[in-house]
Amino acid sequence: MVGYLARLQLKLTWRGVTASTGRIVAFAIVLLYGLGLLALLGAGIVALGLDEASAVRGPVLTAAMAVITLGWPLIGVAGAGDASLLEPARFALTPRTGRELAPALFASALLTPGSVAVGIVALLVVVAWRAEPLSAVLAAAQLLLGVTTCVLLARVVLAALGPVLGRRRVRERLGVVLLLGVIGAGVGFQFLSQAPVDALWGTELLAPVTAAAQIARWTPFGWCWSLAWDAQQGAWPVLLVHVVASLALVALLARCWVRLIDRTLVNPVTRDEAARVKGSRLDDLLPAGVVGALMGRELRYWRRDQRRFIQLISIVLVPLIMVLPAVLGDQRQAIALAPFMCALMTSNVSAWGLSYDGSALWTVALSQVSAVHDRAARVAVVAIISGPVLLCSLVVALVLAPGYDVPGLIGMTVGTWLVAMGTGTWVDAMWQQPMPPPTSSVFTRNAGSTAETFLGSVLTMILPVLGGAPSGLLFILATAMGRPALGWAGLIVGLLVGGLACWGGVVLAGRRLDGHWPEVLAKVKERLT
Amino acid sequence: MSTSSIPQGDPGRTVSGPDHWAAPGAAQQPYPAAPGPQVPPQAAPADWPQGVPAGPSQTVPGGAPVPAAANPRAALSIRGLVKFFGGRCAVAGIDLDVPAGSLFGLVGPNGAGKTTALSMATGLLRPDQGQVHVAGHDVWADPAAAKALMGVLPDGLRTFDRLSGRELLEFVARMHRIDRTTARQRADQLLATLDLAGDADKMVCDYSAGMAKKIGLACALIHNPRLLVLDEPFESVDPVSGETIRQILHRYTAGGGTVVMSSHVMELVETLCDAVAVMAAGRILAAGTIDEVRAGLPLQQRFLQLVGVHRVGGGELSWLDTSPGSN
Repeated sequence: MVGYLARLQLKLTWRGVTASTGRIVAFAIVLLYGLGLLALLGAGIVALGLDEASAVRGPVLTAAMAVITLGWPLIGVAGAGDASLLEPARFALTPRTGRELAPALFASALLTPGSVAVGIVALLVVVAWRAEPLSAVLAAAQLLLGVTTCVLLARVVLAALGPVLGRRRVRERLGVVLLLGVIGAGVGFQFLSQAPVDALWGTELLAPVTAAAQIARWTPFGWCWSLAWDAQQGAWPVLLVHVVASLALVALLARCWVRLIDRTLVNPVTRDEAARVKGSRLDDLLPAGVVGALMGRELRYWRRDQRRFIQLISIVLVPLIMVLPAVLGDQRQAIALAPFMCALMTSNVSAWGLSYDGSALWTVALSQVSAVHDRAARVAVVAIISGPVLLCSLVVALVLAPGYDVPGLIGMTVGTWLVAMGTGTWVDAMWQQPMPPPTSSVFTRNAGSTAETFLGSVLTMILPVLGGAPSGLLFILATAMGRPALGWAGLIVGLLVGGLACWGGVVLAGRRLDGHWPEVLAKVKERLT
Repeated sequence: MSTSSIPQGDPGRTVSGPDHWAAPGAAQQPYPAAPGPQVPPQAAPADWPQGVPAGPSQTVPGGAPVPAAANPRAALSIRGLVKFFGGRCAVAGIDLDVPAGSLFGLVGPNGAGKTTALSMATGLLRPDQGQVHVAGHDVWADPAAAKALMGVLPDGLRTFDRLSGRELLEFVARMHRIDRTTARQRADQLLATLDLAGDADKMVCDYSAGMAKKIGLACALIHNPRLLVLDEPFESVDPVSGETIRQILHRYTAGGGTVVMSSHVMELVETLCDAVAVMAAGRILAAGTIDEVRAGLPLQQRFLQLVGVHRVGGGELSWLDTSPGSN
């Protein structure tokens, strides 16, 4: 069974990646990007093996690996578990016990991309200790103990919280929490990237890292990762304690996991009590015709479908991540980029509507309504949602960063925003992919699907950059040369180009959909992604 | 349970009796609707019994069969419908005429091509070849006119399930250009009739399978179409609700509406429908009135006779003959 489930895990991952040509290409690009990041990380870790870094090697590696050990199950929880092969509830109807299933599920868990990535990082840690043979040997032992602890800890936490995570509303809310966590990490990373390199290696940072590592090595997350550091320090009794504690932790986690699997096997299904939707006067505020009906549905979905809600948050927070560190540093003028970033994000928000709607689109496809109306309604809703955010960011930019050409800035921002809505809705009509149904967590997707979304989102944001380039150029010239006429020209050009792109996007996308509904339905039909 | 509150029939609908039953299996040359693999003219295997009389295909001078024209009097007229998925032929060139005012059952084993055929008939799936007309309107050449006449309950597709039942019905009604007040009235009536009034304000994603099926049926009915195409409408539905749906469908057809429904349950089709087509391996094996198709046998037996039954015998599954632990 161990070999069978491991092969099945690999097969399912492979199928997810190779489901379509687009997904293969997207996965290849994202894989290259990931390998690049891993190479940078690897270079950093290997650099810790230099003699000059011998003092920081132990604390940094111990603290970093403890953070990974702690963070992995948390990410799993925020991602609302998984609907994958690893879910013990799938085996509820088989005559298997937790003790029989655990080794097979463990082997499958070791083959997930997350486990492989942690394994590679742990291997790099071994390389970092290459200068000290005994520590290197213990680092190899750390690898085995650490990866085992990571996998078991994540499985135990997910299994323990299974009854809670099985509830739809919990899954959806945790998705939002995870997004906020990722954005918070992004902000933190931006701050770190603003810090001078000296600070990262100097005593300023070393002291807190060492303190954190000293704490981490005495927590279950750091026991197994501090063995090499213990040896480096010659703290043999501490080493012995950590070895015993690590082995005991693995044994305890394994025992807990087996019991939790047994519990899941006899309680496989959890279900929320249905919530009632409060009546609203939304429809009374919208036009009476079909466009109003479409807008009403779309607005309700922005509120009730957490996948859309997450997109909504991203309009506000992603630009913030990108400009906040610069603003808080000595580049306050960079806040002028925030409204432009908001405008760019709007294209991404427009671009995946059909994919998120999935096969429910048949209702629109078989209705008596042209898809042009559908496109117009969606663009109107995106405008209603993103417009106030754009306005706020413009006001904040003008207040905090005076000196820019105001008409030019408005022209660049609004023009790009209009282009983004038009091109976004056009991309939506041209490029769809199957998404997980709204009842599952937005993060329970395989690598191929995630890569396709990532690549599509990046490409989607290129079009508004191109469309906004003329007004952006005029804004830059107006500000740099101090010639208001160029700013006013930028405003006019922005509105004209943006208006044309928005109108063209709606019409072209609508016509395209009117002639291709069956093909679109075939692409968006839900399946395990 | 009363059905008195269901929407009144379309005044434009007229009751008309069957004037031309389905046209199965005739040799014909399908004509292309979309680029795709070509199939030879449909010809039933020798061991398949003949169904109703041959269809309306004609032969031009020179002997090449040409497809018969769509029947403009039929509520649904299908000619030479073909669909391949990769190299597998799901629907192998079917012809079918469903008269207005009939309650027409489409039966067949799993994988027979029923859902594929109904998807192509309603415009949800583009055929490789063939034509579909709804009351004379070509589904693929004049989709807007055809869609206006159809109500569809597809199988295996989601609805906008983040709307409440009431919101979903009102949305679907308005998508068929029904004004908001009428939409609200009809939604309330359908919810009450289908015993969903108490769950009207719950999101559809929280509905059980049976409730989801009923709300889907309500969506198909709310604009009072001339043709209802229902894929497995009784699946997961409890017997009480099933009886209500029967009453609704009878009332609907009595008012001149036409129902085409697929089902695996022969007893249901036999008692509910007045005509039936038996489909297997992408072909129509028999079609006509219930009495014509069953040819004096119960429909279940006749179905098995047409489709063929795999008898389990000999050493096959012999390990099932003795239950573990039994004496």
